Amino acid sequence: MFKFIVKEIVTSIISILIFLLIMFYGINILIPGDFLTPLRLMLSQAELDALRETLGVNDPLYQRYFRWILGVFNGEITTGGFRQRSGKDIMSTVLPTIQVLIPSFTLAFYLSRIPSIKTPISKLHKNKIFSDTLATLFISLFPPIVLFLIDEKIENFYTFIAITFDLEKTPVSILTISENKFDIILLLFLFSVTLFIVQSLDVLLNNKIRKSGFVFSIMILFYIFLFQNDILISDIILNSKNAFKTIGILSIFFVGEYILINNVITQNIAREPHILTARALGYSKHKIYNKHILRNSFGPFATRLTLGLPYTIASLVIVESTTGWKGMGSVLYQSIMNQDSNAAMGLFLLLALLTAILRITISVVQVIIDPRVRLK
Amino acid sequence: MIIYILKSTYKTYHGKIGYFCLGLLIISSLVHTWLLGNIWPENIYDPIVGFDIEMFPHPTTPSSSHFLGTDPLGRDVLSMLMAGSRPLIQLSIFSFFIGIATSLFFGTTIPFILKRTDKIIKEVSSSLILISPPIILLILGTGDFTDKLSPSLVGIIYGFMSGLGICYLVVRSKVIEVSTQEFITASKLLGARNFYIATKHIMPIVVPYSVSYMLASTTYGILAYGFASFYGQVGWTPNWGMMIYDAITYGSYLGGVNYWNLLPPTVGFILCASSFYFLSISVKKQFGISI
Repeated sequence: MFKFIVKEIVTSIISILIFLLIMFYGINILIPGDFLTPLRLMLSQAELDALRETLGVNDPLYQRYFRWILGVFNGEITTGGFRQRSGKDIMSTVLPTIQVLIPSFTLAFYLSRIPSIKTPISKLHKNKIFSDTLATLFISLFPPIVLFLIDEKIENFYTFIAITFDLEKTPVSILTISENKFDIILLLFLFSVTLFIVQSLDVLLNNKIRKSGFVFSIMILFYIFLFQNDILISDIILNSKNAFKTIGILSIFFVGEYILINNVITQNIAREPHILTARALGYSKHKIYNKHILRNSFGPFATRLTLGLPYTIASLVIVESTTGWKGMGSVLYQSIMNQDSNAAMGLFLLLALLTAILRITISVVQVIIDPRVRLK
Repeated sequence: MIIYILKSTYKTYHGKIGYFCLGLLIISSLVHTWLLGNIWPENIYDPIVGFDIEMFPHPTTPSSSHFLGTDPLGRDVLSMLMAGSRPLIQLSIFSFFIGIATSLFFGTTIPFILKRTDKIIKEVSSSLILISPPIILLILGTGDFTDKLSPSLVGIIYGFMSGLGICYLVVRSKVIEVSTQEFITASKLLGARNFYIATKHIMPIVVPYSVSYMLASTTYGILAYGFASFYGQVGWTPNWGMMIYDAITYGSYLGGVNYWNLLPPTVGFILCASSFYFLSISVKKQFGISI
């Protein structure tokens, strides 16, 4: 296991370094200007030229790349890209993305199971035209249109909540807690609300649910509402408005993909002889689905999920830019638009690291769950 | 092989829906060219600079002269909708065929013949899959390339990236699996060259994998192009992203968004993106591809 993890980490590092090299050359050749270009409104041309000379902006690209990489290894994510921000600020760039990514994954994963769960076991091997069509429709929906459709409803809901409970927004700087702690509490709030919604959907759809999910979500919500002060709670609720818009659109993006993957995988597994045997032995639908189909589907699902990670990043860039959520996707969009190449490189590094962490986590979980992969 | 795949996909429901949507878009694009050259006056029906001065104020509701009405800038929505399918079809076709050619050629020959090079290419591919389509378009659109960024060029770039990225990895893993089978050993013993085995015995087996992945990737290319066009990153080409932007932005200034401005491009996107995805599902179902 240890050897496997080390191998995964080493290959991820190599991939990240090649990716960064490609992006470094791509950005510096294709985007006009350099990371000092955004300063042109504040400094004169002579001052900018002097600064360029001092920072070695005019050096050959390979030298600049190695200097940048050395900077990264020295703990500076970018030399100047994040405007010499501290590690905390980098966390505040990463956390908003995680705040929307984890609930979206959770929501999409649970929702994608519904078509398979609701299909009788005897029909699982057949084509699911309706759910496939619906899923393709979700994938093809253009995010700005989804935002246009849900925006007003969410705004009205939050206005109602704000008026009813007399909520007011306070700048984070005035709050007694740090920005990172605020972000973590917001992440917990968003995750627990999503989990609660998912479990409630399970109850509505008459599925067998695991009580642990309900208990966990309620415990987190209790922790937030009982142990945090009123100003913080009202701020978290109001900040969650934009987050839920982003989560909603991202979930629609992901759920379409996941439904299709699930449909293909379950269809293939349902055709296998062991499912027929389980049916012949009179096992319940719930047991066949959870013990035989769901477990066997994890491997291909995880592989597809890993292959789909770049599209997850693509979705982040598109959706966050559309909703204006201050995650890595929208910050990356802004930095490319502002021709801030160093900031863009820093974000590419963070996105690559996030992708690598997700990829390694998926692989490790796959090894733990599936004994066939472990033995291989 | 490609013709065989096309025939077999047509047998499924998904394939039929996919071909129907794609056919509709291709026909609408062709009809638009014919209409603009023969029936519609260009000064009124041009999808970019057309303006109907006889109707005021714009946007106007659907009428006999403008079946889907006009947009806030006075252009005919039907003409824009029909013209908008062309860049996406161009992009999709270029991206699909280039991706297939790249992934099949490199994916079958390198892992089978050049095993040491394969290790390097694998890492390059793993890094290429991190570069997502909207990012490429954003970077290209920011530079001096906006006007040169034609849909076919975007398709070529995107095809190479997908073909050498995700598609290469999928094809490669299948090639490695196939290369251990007995018939490959048998053909080696019979004296067949590696290149012959790779192209004649292995490639036909991995074609469906490449086709299904490239079809799915094309869907994301379409959405990425839509996103880039929504933010004006693809220059002055008629496109649905720009239609949606105009409908929402100018519509809001003019007292509310009109659904006859917003629905056609939305439906267009759904038809175009879903057609390729349906075909991808169809290939997966027909050839039992579960990843």
